[in-house]
Amino acid sequence: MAEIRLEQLTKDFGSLVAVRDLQLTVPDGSFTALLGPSGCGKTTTMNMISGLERPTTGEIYFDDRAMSRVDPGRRNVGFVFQNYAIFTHMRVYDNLAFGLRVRKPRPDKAETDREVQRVAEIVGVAGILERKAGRLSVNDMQKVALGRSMIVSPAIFLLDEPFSNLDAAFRAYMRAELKRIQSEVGQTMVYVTHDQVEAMSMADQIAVMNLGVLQQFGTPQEIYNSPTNRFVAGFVGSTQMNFLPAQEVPIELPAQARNGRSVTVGVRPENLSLVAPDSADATLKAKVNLVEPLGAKDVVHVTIDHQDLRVIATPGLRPRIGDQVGIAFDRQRLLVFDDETGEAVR
Amino acid sequence: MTGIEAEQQVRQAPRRRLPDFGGRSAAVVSRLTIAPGQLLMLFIVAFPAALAIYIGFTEWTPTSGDNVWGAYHYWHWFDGYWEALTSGSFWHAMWLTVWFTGVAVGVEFVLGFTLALLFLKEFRGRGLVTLYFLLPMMVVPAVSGFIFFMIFQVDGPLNQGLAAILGHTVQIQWLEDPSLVMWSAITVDIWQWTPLMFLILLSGLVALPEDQLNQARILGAGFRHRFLYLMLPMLKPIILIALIIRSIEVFKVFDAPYLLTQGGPGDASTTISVWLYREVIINTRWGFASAAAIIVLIIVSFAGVFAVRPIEQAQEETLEELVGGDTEGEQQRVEDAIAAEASV
Amino acid sequence: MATVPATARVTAGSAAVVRRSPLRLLKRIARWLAILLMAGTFGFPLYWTVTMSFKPQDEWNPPGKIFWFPHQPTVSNFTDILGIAHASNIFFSGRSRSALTPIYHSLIAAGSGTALALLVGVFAAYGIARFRAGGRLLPFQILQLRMFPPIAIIIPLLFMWVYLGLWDTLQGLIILYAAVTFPFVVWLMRSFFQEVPREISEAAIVDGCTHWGAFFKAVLPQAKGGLAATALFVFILNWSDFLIALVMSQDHSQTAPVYLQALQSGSSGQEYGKQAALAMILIMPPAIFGLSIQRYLVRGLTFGAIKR
Repeated sequence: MAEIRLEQLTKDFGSLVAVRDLQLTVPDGSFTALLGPSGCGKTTTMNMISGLERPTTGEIYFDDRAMSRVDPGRRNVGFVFQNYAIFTHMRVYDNLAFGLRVRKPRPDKAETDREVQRVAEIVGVAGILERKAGRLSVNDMQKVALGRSMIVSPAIFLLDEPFSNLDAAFRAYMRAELKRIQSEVGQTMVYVTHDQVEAMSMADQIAVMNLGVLQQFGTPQEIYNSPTNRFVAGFVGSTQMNFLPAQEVPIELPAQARNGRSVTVGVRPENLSLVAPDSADATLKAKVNLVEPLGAKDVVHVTIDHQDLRVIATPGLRPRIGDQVGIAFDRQRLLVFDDETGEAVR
Repeated sequence: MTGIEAEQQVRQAPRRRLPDFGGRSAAVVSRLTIAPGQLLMLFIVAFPAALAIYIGFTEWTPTSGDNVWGAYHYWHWFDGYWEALTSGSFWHAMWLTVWFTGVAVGVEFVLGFTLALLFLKEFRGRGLVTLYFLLPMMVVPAVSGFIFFMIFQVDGPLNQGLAAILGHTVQIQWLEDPSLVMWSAITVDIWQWTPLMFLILLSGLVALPEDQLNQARILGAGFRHRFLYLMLPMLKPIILIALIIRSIEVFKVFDAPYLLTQGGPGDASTTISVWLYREVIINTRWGFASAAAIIVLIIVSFAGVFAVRPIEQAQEETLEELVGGDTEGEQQRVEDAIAAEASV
Repeated sequence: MATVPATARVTAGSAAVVRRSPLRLLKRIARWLAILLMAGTFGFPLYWTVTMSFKPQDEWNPPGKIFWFPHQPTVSNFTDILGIAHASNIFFSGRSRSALTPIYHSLIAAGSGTALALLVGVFAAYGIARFRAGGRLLPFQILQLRMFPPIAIIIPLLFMWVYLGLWDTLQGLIILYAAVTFPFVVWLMRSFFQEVPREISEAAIVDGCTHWGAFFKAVLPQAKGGLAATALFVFILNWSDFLIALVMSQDHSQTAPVYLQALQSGSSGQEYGKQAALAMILIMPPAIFGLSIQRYLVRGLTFGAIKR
């Protein structure tokens, strides 16, 4: 249980800067996601927190203790690797017991037994302790990897793409399971993902990264509703945000947005709605291109002057391809971005 | 599914039609490919072996007047075998060989492993330094024998170097002292073949899964624990192969002891190969030497049954990689992967 | 995420660069000292030989003195041993020839032996890899041949060779070399052939090739890197042979390693410089070939069991 504070953290590999000036405070006991496309520096960040890599410059604090020169084994962190890094030549039992056996002083056999049993119950591998770990299914490997890190009761739990190899049903189960474990033990958990749905649905806070630079840090709601720049706005959201040049949108924008700068309007598909072309609400007229039925809703792709827009519509009003439709904007939910800097204008 | 079925058809179709298209059936082709090799082996191994067994039952020597075919005039059944098995010099040579093998392979393993561990972490110029350490392996054994013959001279560079360090004259008789000469011969083998150990173990070490070692570090395992619990067990098959292959080669050792002292002084460095050479060339007791050689071959063959096993296994593992795994876990993992794929 | 470029350029750190702890620095130094010590120990024998080959006679082995490096370097050792310049001393008296003839013998015997071993072994390797020719056990029987001390096999061959008139001929050596390295060819080429997808030969056969056509036109070109490595590897083995040539040759087919040994035992250490020069010449081909196929050395020396 510790707060993680990253101060001006930078890591470069020769001329390649993997992480640049990262400033981030992960509150004690929180569940935080590092979100970004591959190559954005999130894994490097995790490696620096865990101690596998040393920062080029900057410092890492766990509760005001500077950590960047502390060995990974002494940081009291748990790390679940993307491929689980199971010790395939050992039994499941020995995998779980590993963290205890290398510890000083080494606990006696009875205590080890007890701890392994306890953790095995929590992660649900109590029945397969004698199996050889190399022969497990992916799902069981995930559980073993979790348990193996958990047994040393780390203050900080790091998970690198913990769910990407799991099948859909087990993934949902494991998400819930992880949330439960976290709320029970109250560890600070940080996990890396490139899947924004996963980040949105589980995390207390999300840190969005791109090209080694932190883009935004906030609650899922903040990230979703008021992204600080165009990258975050575009990256987050299961159906991508629409971007339109401001001059194509006949709406009065906030005064500061029009301050002589060229700007882009961003609007989420669910903040658009389809109306009759001649309706008073129809801000724009468009032609339907494609309809993707998703069950509870449809994603309707429309075109305005070579500009594609995605609109979320209720299935009742399903238009046909080629139909003329009107597009209504939820004016409260418009976002404006500076074309030069990509920053949100408020 | 359909994709997999289609692929299977593509894979199977030509195999079914092989006999029609190949002109000759695969069975015939298969036999033809190994025929020249079998012929060579017949000529070089089978026929001489038969000859050796025949001569081994006689006391024949080339100086006796008769040629090989007349060797039956000197028939004495198992006397040659009995003489070898009861001769002190034969067992002395056997013992020296086993001792040589044990010490040389052991030291080579420890040195090679140490060097490989030193090379594990990337440093500038690692590739070049690695090549440098491979050089002794390329040296022709006759040359390495000559080199160490120079070095081990009483007024040679080794003693002179020791003298320079210790500050007084050193007159160690590396080649003349019967209690030292084996160590000198072993040194030649160690110098020449530690690089192979190093190369084999390094290639094993760099192939170790990094995440598992990192995981162990994070769990608090120091180098000692990572080495004992992870590196050694994971390297076990490779270590086994390295030890076995080196043992096989060292057991045959001839060049180093022969080139340094012709197996001397006396019989202080007559390994079994040198001993056989002496019986054949110097004592020209060909009947006796044949009997002794057959005893050696039988002993080696027994050892070989155990030695070939791990190599066979390693080969089959790579074969498995090509064909696709068939272990339970592998299967499960493949299924999981397919399920995960389908659900995305 | 971020991949480390092979040639990582370390950028100049600013004031906040993390300093290394003293213990870590100590470890680094210890590691380097260990590497240097090993490098020195393993390098010295070669250093001694190289320098020896350039030393004039009075620096070879003077009583009570030692020359750690040549004070008056000369190439006369090389020219003498090769018979290019006429030796000033009585070096060749009682010996009718320079090292050129033995070197020539070595080249012919090792080269032709390699060619023959490949000719026989490559087909067998293909048969074993593709058709499991000879059954599952054959490769291991072949491997087991390698375990026998050559001298034990040589005894009957010696009188066979004398009887057949092959003793002390290059042909005799060539056949023996081929037989001795045949297992290496089979095991190495088998591992290379196993890496060529079966579909390649099958596709060729479907296209109308015979089995032989498929082998030569489709499979062998795929394995030609492996073939070259095998050839060089086997050449090194043959070139390095000492025992077979020692027993099986005298004057007409004496190879260079045996010649080198004859100089040693015949001159009781008085020809160091010239021997070292010959040693240098002998080391060259395997060193060059060996370093050029070093990727495959482990595979060769472990019979394909270790691939890297």
